[in-house]
Amino acid sequence: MLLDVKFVKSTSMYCTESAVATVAQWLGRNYEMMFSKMWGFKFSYHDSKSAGIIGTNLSAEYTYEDEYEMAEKYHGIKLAGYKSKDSIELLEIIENNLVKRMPILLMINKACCPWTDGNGTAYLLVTGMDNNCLICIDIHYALSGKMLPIENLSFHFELNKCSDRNNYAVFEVVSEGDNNVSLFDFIDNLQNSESLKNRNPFEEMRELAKIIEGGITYGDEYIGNKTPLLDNIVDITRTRMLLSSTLGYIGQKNQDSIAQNIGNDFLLIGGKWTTIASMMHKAFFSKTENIDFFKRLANKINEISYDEENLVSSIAKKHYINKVNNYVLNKKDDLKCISNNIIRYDLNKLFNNRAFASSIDNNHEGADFTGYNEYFLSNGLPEDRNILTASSCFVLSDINNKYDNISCSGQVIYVLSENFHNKIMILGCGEWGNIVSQLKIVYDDDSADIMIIDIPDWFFTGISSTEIAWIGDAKCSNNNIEKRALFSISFMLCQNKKVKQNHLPDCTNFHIFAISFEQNRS
Amino acid sequence: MGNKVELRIREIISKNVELTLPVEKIGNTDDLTAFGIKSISTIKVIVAIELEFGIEFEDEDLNFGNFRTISSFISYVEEKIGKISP
Repeated sequence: MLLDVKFVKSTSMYCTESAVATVAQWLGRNYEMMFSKMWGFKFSYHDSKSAGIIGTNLSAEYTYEDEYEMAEKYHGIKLAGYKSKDSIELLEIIENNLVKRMPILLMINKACCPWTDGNGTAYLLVTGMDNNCLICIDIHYALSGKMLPIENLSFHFELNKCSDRNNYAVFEVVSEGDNNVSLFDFIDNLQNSESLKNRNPFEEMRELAKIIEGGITYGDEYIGNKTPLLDNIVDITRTRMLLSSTLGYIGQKNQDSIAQNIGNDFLLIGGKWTTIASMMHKAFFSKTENIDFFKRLANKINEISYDEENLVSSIAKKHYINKVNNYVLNKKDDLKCISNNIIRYDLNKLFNNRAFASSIDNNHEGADFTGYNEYFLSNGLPEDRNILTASSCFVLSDINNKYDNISCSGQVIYVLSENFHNKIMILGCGEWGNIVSQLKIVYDDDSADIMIIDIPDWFFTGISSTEIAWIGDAKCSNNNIEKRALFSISFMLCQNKKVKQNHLPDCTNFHIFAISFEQNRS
Repeated sequence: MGNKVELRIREIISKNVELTLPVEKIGNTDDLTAFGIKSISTIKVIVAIELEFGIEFEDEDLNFGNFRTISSFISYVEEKIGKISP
């Protein structure tokens, strides 16, 4: 029995990652989103006088758990490690997996492998077996078709009697995976990275540069035969390379040139880290004490700290897409169902104005719609905040929020819809006369529709060619309470394309309170 | 000069890399990654070459991708020696 598994090689992947990538490809799936949470950097220097003084304070700050979680979430592949008690049990597990046409990963003592005389752990992806041998891919040495005598498995158990470590891992297909992956998934992950929470990783890179400039006391950096400084620099390097592959995948999948460009930038950053890692290894192998060498090395770390700061900050703040006015909506959290066929955007991130107050007391809760202490009174609103008209359906935001509407200034809303939409519906009004402006909708194929927005001032509560969605009390600048209105406008959308971007009008007098979409039922 | 440089480089590779084939069996243009060289062992080879030939590799050239064949090491060393020699 032999599975025709093609080994996925990459110098940036560790053995377990290569195993997941290889099995994913065997299953006809991708694996690149596995690395989507990998960006990080941490250096908190403590002159502890313990071994590994610099190296143990340095980390790429990601976890394998995150990687496996991402592999499961986006590619539907689960990896789980176990410890088998003896070679008989292990062989049975291997056979069971191969019968299910699933490779299995062994993490066993290298002493079992006749083709290597090294020490440590061999990562073997078992892809087949005959009467006497397991047929394996030796991931570390990138060797396919290696024959491991079955009787050799017992060496592992003899040599690792006291070890608690897992000695095999199994793969399982648990779902189809999330196929609607986009650049925004990556941005979400980056924004939530540990390194960007209450710390400045780029300052920490510069701190590392300062320490390195003073030279390395080689003897202090070893822990047994390990050198955490080298290991961790390699880890930082490879994570940038792997992130580049994630973005390349996103770019290719969605024909998204921005993702591809960011991927290329990470590749360049990875290349620069590679030079730093190589110089660091050279220093250790040659035990150089050349001050000029350390100065050059420190300069390179300094330089990359600024490069990476520019790149990561601009992505995390979404400025990468060349505008400060971009907002990314998360399709899972910010798209909400109103009914079976109506969804709405949760616009909280974009709100920049408050139009509703519950009373004229209490400093009217900061509401000031027009800049002249004018505002709607919320007492006439439906309790559920649903605004229904003959043709549209909206939900207003919570009136207790700091802001409740968008004063439009060309904001761009990025969100890749999961469904096709027939119609976009907007609840809004003008603040200073009637508004004529443009709304641009960009679809997933980068084609666009321009809609002309023609909407009355909130003052017009009488007969209007635009559908009035709600009329209520408002406190006016003359301190009178008068009637004011919100209007509903809608536009038909291209039905066989998904909305990717909404470019709001560049007109601050136009206020949007809610946006909904009617879904295409077909 | 070429033949001598090649022999010394082959010796250095053999000493510093855990190869899966004897170095004599590897052609000058064969991809060394297929025989067990990795990025870290490449740096080991570079450090040994620097010592052996009294040259220094440029920082930017310390890239695994630049030295995947024996001939790439030979060319680099010959160019450096050429620059040093009168």
